[in-house]
Amino acid sequence: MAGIIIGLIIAAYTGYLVYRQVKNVKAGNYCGHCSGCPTARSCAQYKDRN
Amino acid sequence: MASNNKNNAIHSVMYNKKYEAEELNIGFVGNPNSGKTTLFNAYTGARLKVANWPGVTVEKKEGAFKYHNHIYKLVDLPGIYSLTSYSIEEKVSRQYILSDDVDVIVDVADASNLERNLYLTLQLIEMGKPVVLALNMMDIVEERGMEIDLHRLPEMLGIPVIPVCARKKTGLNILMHAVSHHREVEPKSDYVVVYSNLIEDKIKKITARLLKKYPNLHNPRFYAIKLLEKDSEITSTCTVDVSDIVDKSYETEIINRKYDFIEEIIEEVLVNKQEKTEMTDRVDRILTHKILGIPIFLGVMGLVFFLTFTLGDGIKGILEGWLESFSAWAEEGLVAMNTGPIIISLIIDGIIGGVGTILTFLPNIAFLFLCLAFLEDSGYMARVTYVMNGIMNKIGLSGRAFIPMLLGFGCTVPAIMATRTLENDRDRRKVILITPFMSCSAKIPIYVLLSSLFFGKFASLAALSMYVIGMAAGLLTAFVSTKIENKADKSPAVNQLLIELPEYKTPNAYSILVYVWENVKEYLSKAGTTIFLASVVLWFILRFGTIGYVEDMSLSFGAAIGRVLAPVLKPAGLGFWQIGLSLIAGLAAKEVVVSSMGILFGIVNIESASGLGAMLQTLGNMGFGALNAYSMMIFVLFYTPCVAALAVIAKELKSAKWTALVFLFQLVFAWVASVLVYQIGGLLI
Repeated sequence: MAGIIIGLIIAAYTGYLVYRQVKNVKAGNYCGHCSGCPTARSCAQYKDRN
Repeated sequence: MASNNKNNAIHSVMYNKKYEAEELNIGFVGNPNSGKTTLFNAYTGARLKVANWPGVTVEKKEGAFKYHNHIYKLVDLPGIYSLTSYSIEEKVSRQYILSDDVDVIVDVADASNLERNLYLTLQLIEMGKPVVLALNMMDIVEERGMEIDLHRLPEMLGIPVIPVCARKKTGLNILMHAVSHHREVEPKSDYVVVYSNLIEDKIKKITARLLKKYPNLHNPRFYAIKLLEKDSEITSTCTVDVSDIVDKSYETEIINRKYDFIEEIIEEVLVNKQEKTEMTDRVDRILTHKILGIPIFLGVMGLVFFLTFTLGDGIKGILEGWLESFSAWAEEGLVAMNTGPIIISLIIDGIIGGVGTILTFLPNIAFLFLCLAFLEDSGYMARVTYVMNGIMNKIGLSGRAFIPMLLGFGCTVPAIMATRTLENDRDRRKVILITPFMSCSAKIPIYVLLSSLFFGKFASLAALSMYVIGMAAGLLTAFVSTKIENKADKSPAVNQLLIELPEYKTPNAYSILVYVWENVKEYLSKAGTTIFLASVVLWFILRFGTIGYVEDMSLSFGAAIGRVLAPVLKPAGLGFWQIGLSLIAGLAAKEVVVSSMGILFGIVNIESASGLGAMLQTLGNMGFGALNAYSMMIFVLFYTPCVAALAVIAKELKSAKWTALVFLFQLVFAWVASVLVYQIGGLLI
């Protein structure tokens, strides 16, 4: 039972990461390297994270 | 020019009607490194990157705050020296200032370098918009025993002048107070800078023609001056024929007259003029020395990377201990909960093995960014650009192109973005091509792992060599491409460097900590997202094959993929399916090369003594030795950057063809370089 719950949690988180990545790519933002980035403020991904 | 009718209507409203609106749009304009972003951060509470070197801001950034019932919308513009249209920053700033979006311009000037900063001020005043001069860094002026006549300066310029210190947050309220009042001030009818009779006569004639075509043009004098300067952008958009008046470019005369006027101002308002502190001059005599400058720079960078590789080790040991205990505890817990072997393998081999491995390199990353922040804040980075200018010119680039290359030591993504400061597309393409050759922080785990495995007491030297080889290869590539270009184009672009060498400053502890924390946070976030995802995917393809779940990874889908690549990599000494697969995985993020090796070889704590021993034995059994390791380091140094960097390259180049070329070039370059290293190394050893 514990194995199934843990597996589901990992699957759900992995799914969320994939969803977020796809969403960001669709919005034209491909990276999360915001610190030091000269264009971070205008990037939707930066706004998402902050 | 065509849209200026609309502009003029708005300007006349601005000057003739009392403001009732609560909103005020303010543009922060100024020379690079004059403290615009620090001032912007002080007002808005933002944490935008600031550094003691020019070119940090490459696009306009917006923020807002409320003061005395007004909403002040601030726009931080890239640093510029003039309002010509040679570089992207100048174009961005000028377009914004000329647009309807700005009510008042705050010209942020470094008061300790007044002479240089006033050139832009005069150009801004000439544009005819309300300008307030913020004299920043007044603390430095005082420290040097200089004095500025704050009564005479506004008299001579005809605009309000407010002394501020953005770092100490002094004078901020009075500046906004002045801004708020100054927006309602009628523009002065007399001119600040009066040119020679010949030029004034031409300005009059052009102004008359412009007003005939655009009767509501608010600032015809500015356009007339720009037409006399033969400004490319204004000339190409102007529909009024002035060719009989503008018989040649009067740019030099106009510039000289402005500087004459600046000299008059300085003569009258500056008491105890002292250009730079003696300390700065003395240090610069050594650090920017014609012969010593470059060896000193190489020495400094060598020290930075040496500290990165060695200083973090103590803390790394503690993290490794924690990871080992956590892994054992997690395994025991999972077994106690009767969890199935597949889930245990996913968590222990996949997630902890992948993500945990990367986390142990955190101290190295933190030390690298600490050193880089120290160098940036002290003012040394600007000197590096100056020192490298000679070499950069020889390879057909401006010294300015070295800034993105330096940023590339942190992360390729912002480095690619920073190429926007370069004057032309050809230079940009070239720098975008070579910037990934600078070893980004994500490659550190790979260098640390392979060099500590195979090079013993020479580990740091082996890792350091990657930085030197990367830089040399980048410069060589730029040189060759310039040679090819010059063959095709007989009139190559002239690259000039205009860069301010700021005062040396004691680095600000808070700024450094914020900078390091932002990067550490990003690394942790990457470990929990990109690397987590890559580890799970990798675990999956390594644990499943055509027959379902497999204990033996050589039967997995991953092994099948790796085997396709192995023959291609064989001449480079990397013909192993595990290596091929980890290199493919590294396209997600370079750190994944290491985490995938952890998963591939079933080692949870790859950097611990036991992990290293197990890894060395496994690799040794495969026939993978020191030469193979060095060849792999070379391949990693040069091959295609991560997906994020590649996407940014595509975004910046705006061309699928160029992006594909960059991708292929780096891949082929990496292969050729590692084959050469392995084959020649094999002959020597």
